[in-house]
Amino acid sequence: MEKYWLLQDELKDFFDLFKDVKYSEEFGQSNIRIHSKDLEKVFDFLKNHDEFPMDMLVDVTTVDYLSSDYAEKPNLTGREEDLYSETRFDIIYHFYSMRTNKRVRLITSCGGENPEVLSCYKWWQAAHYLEREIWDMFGIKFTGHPDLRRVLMYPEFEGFPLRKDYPVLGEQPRLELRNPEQDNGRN
Amino acid sequence: MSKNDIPENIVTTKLDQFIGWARSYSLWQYVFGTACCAMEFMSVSSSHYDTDRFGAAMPRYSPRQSDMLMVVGTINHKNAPVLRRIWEQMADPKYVVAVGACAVSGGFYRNYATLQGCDLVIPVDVYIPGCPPRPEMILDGIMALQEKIRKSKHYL
Repeated sequence: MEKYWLLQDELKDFFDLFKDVKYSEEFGQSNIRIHSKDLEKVFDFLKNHDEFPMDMLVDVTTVDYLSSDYAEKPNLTGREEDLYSETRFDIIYHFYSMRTNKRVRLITSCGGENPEVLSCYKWWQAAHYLEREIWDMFGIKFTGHPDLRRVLMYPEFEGFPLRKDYPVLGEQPRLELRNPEQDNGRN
Repeated sequence: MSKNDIPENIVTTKLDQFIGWARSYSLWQYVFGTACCAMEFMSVSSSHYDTDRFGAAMPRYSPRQSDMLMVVGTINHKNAPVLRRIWEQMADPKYVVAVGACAVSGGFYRNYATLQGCDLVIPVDVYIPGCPPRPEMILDGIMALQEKIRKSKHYL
C-alpha cells in the first residue's frame, strides 16, 4: 500500500520549529500532539508548507476523556478536578494535501470550566460546520468562529449530549408527550 | 314490497358499512419517511409489491389531501413537532400507521435524541414491527387498517 501519511522523517522542519510536540506512530499512521497555544503557528505552517501544503481539512472531531468511574456515578462529590481537568477533551484534526496525496493527524487537548480553542475557520473554511457540531455536542468554544450555533440539536436544548457527564437518557422533549395507553385519539 | 321484488342488480347494506367499504379502498397516504424503512416502503408502494392492489396507492404530498399518515422511520425529539403538525393538518377521518421498530417503540435507539415511539406524539391505529418490516408485513398492516375502517362506525 502506498504510504500516504507524513511520518517523522518527512516532518523534520515541523519538529525543528515546534519543540513542545509529542509524536507517535500506529499502524503506519502518525499522531502529532501539540499544545493548544501553538495552534495558530501550526495552522499557518501546515497551510503554507512548501513541500506538502495541507489544502484540505478532512475532519475535526473530539473525544471526551472524563474518567470512567465519574461517568458511571455522576453524583460523586469532590471530583471537580476530573470534570474541569485541562486535558479532558482531545481535539483531533485530519489534514490532507491534495497535490501530494499526504495526510497529517493533529491532536490537541483542552478543558477547564469553559473549554476554548482557536478556530481554524480562517485557514480552512470547511471547519465551519465541523466546529459547530463540536460546540453542539461537547460545548467547546472555538474562538474566531464566525457563527457558532447548534447544528444538530434544537436551539432550546440544554447541555452537551456527547459529554460523558451528560445522562444517556437525558431527553428534552419539545412537546408534551401523550400517554398512548390512556388516550386512543378517537372522540 | 317483499325481498323477491328487488331486482338482482341492487344490493342492500347499512350506511356505516357502505361508508367504511368506500373509505377503506381509497386510502390516500402521506408518507412521513425519515429513515431506512422509507427505502423499503418505496418498493412496497411501487410496481414490485404494489399497494395499488389493495386500494391504498395514492401517495399525496400534502397532508390536507391524505387520509392515512405512514410514519416510516425513526422520529427524534427535534422532529416530533413537525410530525405533530402534519398530523394536525390532516382532515378527518385520518388514520396513522407506524411502520418499523423505530416508529413503533424507538427501536434499538435509547438515548437523549430519539422519541420512544411516535404514539407519544400522535395516536396510532396500526403498528407494523420489524427492522425493516418485510413488504408483506406492510401490506398486511394496510389490510389490517382497512379491516379496522370497515368495522368502525362512521359519522357523517
